[in-house]
Amino acid sequence: MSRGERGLAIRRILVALDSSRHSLAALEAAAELAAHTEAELFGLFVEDINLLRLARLPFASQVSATSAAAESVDPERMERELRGQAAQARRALAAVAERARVPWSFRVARGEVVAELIAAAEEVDLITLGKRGLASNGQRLGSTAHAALSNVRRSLLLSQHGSPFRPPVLAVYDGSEGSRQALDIGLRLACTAGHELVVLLVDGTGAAPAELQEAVARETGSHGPHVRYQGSYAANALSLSNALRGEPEGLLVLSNAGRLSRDEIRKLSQQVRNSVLVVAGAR
Amino acid sequence: MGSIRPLTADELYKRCDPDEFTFETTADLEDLKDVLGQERAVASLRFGMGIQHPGYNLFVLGPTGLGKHFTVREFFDRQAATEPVPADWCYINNFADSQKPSTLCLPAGKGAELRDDVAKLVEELRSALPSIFDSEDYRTRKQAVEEEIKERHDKAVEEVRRGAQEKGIGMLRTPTGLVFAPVRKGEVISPEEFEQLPQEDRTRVEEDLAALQQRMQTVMRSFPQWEKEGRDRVKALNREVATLAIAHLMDDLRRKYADLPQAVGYLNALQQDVSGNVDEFLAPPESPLAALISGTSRGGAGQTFFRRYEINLLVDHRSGQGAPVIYEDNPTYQNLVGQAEYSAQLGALVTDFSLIKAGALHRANGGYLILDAYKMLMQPYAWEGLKRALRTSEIRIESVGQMLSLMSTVSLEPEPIPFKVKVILVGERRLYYLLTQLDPDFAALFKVAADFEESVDRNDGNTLLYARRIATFGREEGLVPFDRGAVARIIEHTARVAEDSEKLSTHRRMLTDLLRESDYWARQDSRRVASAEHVQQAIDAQIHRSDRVREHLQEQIQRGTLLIDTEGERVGQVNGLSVLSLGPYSFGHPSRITARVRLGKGEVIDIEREVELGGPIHSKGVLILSGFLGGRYASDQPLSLSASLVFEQSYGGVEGDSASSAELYALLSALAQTPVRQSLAVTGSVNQNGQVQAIGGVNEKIEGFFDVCELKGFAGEHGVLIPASNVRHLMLRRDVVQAAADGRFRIYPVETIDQGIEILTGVPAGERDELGCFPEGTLNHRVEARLMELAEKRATAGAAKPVQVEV
Repeated sequence: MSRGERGLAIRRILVALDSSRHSLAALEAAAELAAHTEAELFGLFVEDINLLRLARLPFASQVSATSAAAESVDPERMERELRGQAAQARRALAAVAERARVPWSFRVARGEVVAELIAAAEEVDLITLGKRGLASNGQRLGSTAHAALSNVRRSLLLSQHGSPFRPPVLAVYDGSEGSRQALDIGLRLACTAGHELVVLLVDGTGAAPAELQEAVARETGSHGPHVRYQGSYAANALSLSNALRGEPEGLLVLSNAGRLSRDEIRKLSQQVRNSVLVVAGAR
Repeated sequence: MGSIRPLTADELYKRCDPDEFTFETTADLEDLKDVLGQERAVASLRFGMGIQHPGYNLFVLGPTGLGKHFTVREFFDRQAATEPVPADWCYINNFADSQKPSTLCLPAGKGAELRDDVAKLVEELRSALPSIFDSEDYRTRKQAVEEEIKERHDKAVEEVRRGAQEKGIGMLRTPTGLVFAPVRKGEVISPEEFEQLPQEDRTRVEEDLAALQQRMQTVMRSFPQWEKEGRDRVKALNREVATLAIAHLMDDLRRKYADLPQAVGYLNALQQDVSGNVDEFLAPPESPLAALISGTSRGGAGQTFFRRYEINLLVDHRSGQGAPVIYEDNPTYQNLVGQAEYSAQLGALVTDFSLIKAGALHRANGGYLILDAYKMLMQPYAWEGLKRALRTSEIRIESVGQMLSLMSTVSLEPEPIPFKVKVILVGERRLYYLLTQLDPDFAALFKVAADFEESVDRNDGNTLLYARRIATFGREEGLVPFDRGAVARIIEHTARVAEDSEKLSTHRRMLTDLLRESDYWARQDSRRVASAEHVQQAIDAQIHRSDRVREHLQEQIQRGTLLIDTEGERVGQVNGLSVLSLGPYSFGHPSRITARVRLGKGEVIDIEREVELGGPIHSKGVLILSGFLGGRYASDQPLSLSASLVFEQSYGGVEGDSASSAELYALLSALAQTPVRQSLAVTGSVNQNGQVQAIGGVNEKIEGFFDVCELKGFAGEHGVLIPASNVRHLMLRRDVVQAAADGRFRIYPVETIDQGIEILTGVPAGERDELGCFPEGTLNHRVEARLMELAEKRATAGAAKPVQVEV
């Protein structure tokens, strides 16, 4: 994997934990990815400063998630509950990481969630986030994921709850250098996981596919995964999400430095049920 | 003594003449399948089998060894083969209440078929259902339902959130709930900022917050209801999808068993249950490693789950021919009524319908059940269990613990199975009479008694049938043929066993043993045909094997340790004869009986009774003697003697009245002071009129004295006095018969005490003349004179109490 080692080694994976089911799914996905790429897991729990501030308001009161009853909130209680949640997140991380046999570390930060996440992203190669459930506006992305997609210059794994890492690996290739890097990563994951690799070709790659097939064949040799080529498709979210509907919900790998704009990537991520790995282009 | 003539050799032994047979060996004879001489019992069996009313069960009674079991089995096997094969019975899971398994009754052979078909069906379902539920189509439909619910949640929450946003209020998630707070530029305002707001703004914010919270609470309270709706819809979807998938698999089976409504009913219930338990079919088999780590084996539990669709084929008549005839050799309660076994799961004992095991009652249902009465009565609760089944006409499986309310484990209440069986109990007569007497249910449940005879008449017809029986048995057992001499000897021996020269014993075991052993000796002799000598050898060997005690007693007599005179004359001393039975073997031997007489108040003291060595019948015999004495000699004066009688050197008990004539002779001899010839021995009981009555074991007794005489040397006219009514029972040993023919040994048939005393003393007994007196010089005269003398002495002694001194 000479290419992968050159520019796209994934050595440290950040996973934001808030003990919701989405973040746990993200954790599972991150652990699996870490196992495949021999990376280290880095868990981050952010004590939301907004919550602490809110607890100090004189009229602070919450609706209990379990009983739907109104309960008063005070700073001490909030602190205690956040500490408990952090401990829980740490335990979950330890359990998952040990099962996947990957090294791990954990940190608790206090501040704005997105800001802390962006700050922590500087220390890692990849960030894992859970996709949120279907929101009323049809979005499949949570606010944090949204912010991350827009602001973070790191690779991003958006994991779909319930299907973090199913076969096959689906890689979008549009002829750009970035998409070539994404394809490399997809190929590597397909190799280690033993999954099929489906290459989704985007219009305008020209004569590239034939060369590409040769190049891929050279790299994988006879032991590599089965590779299938589909396409070609228009370089927009709609066309690709239609293409994906005909495939099993595997991991979708694409580049943010290719011909797909960030907006299209965001839309695509929202529309599909797949877990999505957005590879940050080497800039 | 001239009036009684000794018996001739012919009268001592009724020979069976081989020349009367028309066959050479038993190989020439046809088989005899019928039982010999049991017409009454066989008629009872036939009646009991034919009559179809409740309570007409059979009790076959008779002593052991007659071949009752064999006969009953053979009889019922033959009869049952012509009857229809009864139905198969299965226990199936009761899907509504698994503690109460249901029954399934199917025509013979269909049980196994249905069981296999259903097993195959479940196997198919286990592969078909997961693939259907794994299909894209199903997944999409299920997800649509789930997402709709989720969407409903999210939408409701989102609406509240938007409402809040419009008022500048944000909604946040805390670790344990949802909270609303005023926000500014995406951040919750701090308390200080809030304090700086104008009063009306603060009031408005607080009111807004309260309203929002109220709204959120309303929304969240409806979440559980929505979730339940979702689950119900998924369940309904599962059922719908499963029903469709199962239906086409089930339709084939339903068509196949269309003519069996019970089977179809079961298939329908099964289908419904599968539809409701689809999840169990979808759970992937857990890997053994994971099961090990998690510490519990869900794989095992999964297996347990699918057991509910098994069919427990309790009674299988697939290969049945005719009605079943079951002999239960170990009739415990469980072996009769069946049981629900338990299996250990994680230390707890559990059971279900598949662990129900059939008992003999199930296997015999619709046919015949043969049980040994003694064995069954030995088993706790077996008799009660059997009676209950017969009374209620159903088999209800309940453990003994359950019956006695001792068990607290979860147990089953299987649906009872209708019970229709002829029960044949086989046992000794004593048991039959005891049960009749002690158990009021018995007479109502076992109305037919089949009483087996121990002997048949010895006539030409039966003798030939007996020969055919010998032939049949020989062929069945692969024995050498028996020539006519051998058959004749066997016939003679069976007469001896029957203790009657005019009867033949029907004792099957005796016969079969004798045949097998004769065969052995013939083969030892390298003969292909067994002859009379081999039969004799077998008989002699049987006796020799159990002869130790007899030989020991003979030796004691020869050495003089046991005092028996076989020569000379003695006053008040007679050789009595008794029989010792040691297991199957019995032999006779003489005992010295003595009597002493003196003045007394008219009592005959039986020393055996005084020391409680005599049984009641023996005591009765002795009391009869007083009756005889008083009646004959002292009807008009007090009987003023005191006599004591004893069996000398007897240290065990004495029972039976066969020595009472000997005791009377000893008493008369003592009274008359007339000696008795010791070369003679005496047997026979006596009544108050002095008549001598028949006794048992006459052959053994005669032979016992003969052996002693032979041991001590024939020095005079030896012989034995037997009751005349016993003559027809004589089947004596050859050497005894030979000695009688040679005149060395005589058997006197005696009818009265007078005849006997004449032979023993050589003095005429004498009869009363017209004046009522016995003639001078007769024995009776001497006795009467002595008794009168005693009476006079007693009268002169007045009321003085006589002093008794026992020796």
